[in-house]
Amino acid sequence: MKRARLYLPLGIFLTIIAFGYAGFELNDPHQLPSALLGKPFPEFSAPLLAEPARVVDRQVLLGTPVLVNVWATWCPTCKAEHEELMRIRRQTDLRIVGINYKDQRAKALRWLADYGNPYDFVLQDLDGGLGVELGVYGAPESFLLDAQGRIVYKRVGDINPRIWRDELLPHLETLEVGSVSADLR
Amino acid sequence: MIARLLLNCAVAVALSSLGTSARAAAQVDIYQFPDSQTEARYRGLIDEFRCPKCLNTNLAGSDAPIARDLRRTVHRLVVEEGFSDDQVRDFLQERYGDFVLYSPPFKPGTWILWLAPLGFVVLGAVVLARTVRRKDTLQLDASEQRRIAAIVGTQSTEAVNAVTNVGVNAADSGAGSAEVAAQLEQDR
Repeated sequence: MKRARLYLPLGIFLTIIAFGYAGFELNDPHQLPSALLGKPFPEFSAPLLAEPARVVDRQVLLGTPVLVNVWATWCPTCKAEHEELMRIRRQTDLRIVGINYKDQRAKALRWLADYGNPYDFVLQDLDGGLGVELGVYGAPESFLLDAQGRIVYKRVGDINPRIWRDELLPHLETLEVGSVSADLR
Repeated sequence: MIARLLLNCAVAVALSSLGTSARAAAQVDIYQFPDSQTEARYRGLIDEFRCPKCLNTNLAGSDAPIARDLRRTVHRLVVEEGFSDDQVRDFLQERYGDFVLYSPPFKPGTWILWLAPLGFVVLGAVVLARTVRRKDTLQLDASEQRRIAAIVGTQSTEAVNAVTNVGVNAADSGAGSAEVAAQLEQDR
């Protein structure tokens, strides 16, 4: 009993270490949990980057699963993830919709012309107002929506092959299975 | 050259002290308010929320673009859309989560945060109580008891018993019995 008690400080110390490890190493404070996860994509109206005169709303995102990608030409990580978006575009039939976030139209159009355009279409968010509706606090951020426009997954940071394999693909598979069983019924 | 630099610094300090506070100087947004009460509400709100990008700066004190956007949003909600303070809180929490609230709500994910301090107080009280109770009591033989009785000046066994439990009682029954205890220790 007496001897066991000698280990008490060591135990307390190890407990603190464990909490510190979990808190500072496993949990990246820059990755906020999305408050919108599981909720419907908010209502919005935004002009298209290609034709600013045309304003579209939430309806354009419905029907099939869609990856909504928030990007800007001022964002280096967006350049880093662009290649992966192009690959997804080429090799899968997942729809990708861009939100050009707090950017200049001319620069954005040049970017798409120079590097390729992985998007079905791009929405324009000049003042970041749509970003605020989405809880966006940086770029890039991506949202995976199911066919009903519900947010099933959110990624803060770049889309890369690892994220595609470990996060997006599993979610897409559950979505696909869900829609198939819905069809069977 | 240096004198001019110092002069410039002095002017800068004088100018900045004209501002209402240091944090007001940190942001450069210029907003119109219908009245000072609305402005005070706006200032209170941007003081209250945490900037989502910068981990530990509030909206008022941050120069991050997202903080500027959120200040503008708060201004719009308060001035143009007439939101109450609670509605603004809900608006931001729905979009940015509990992170933007410095004081997290009480819910299953956070109950340990709120209850842990209480738990530590209870734990401390238990440890304290046990430590105090375990204080050794002096075991006196018959001759020592007689001597105590002589010192105290009475033959009453009650009095003897009262001072025998020195460990606990010396502290709370006053200096008299503490002296007795000290003398006893010396004599032993």
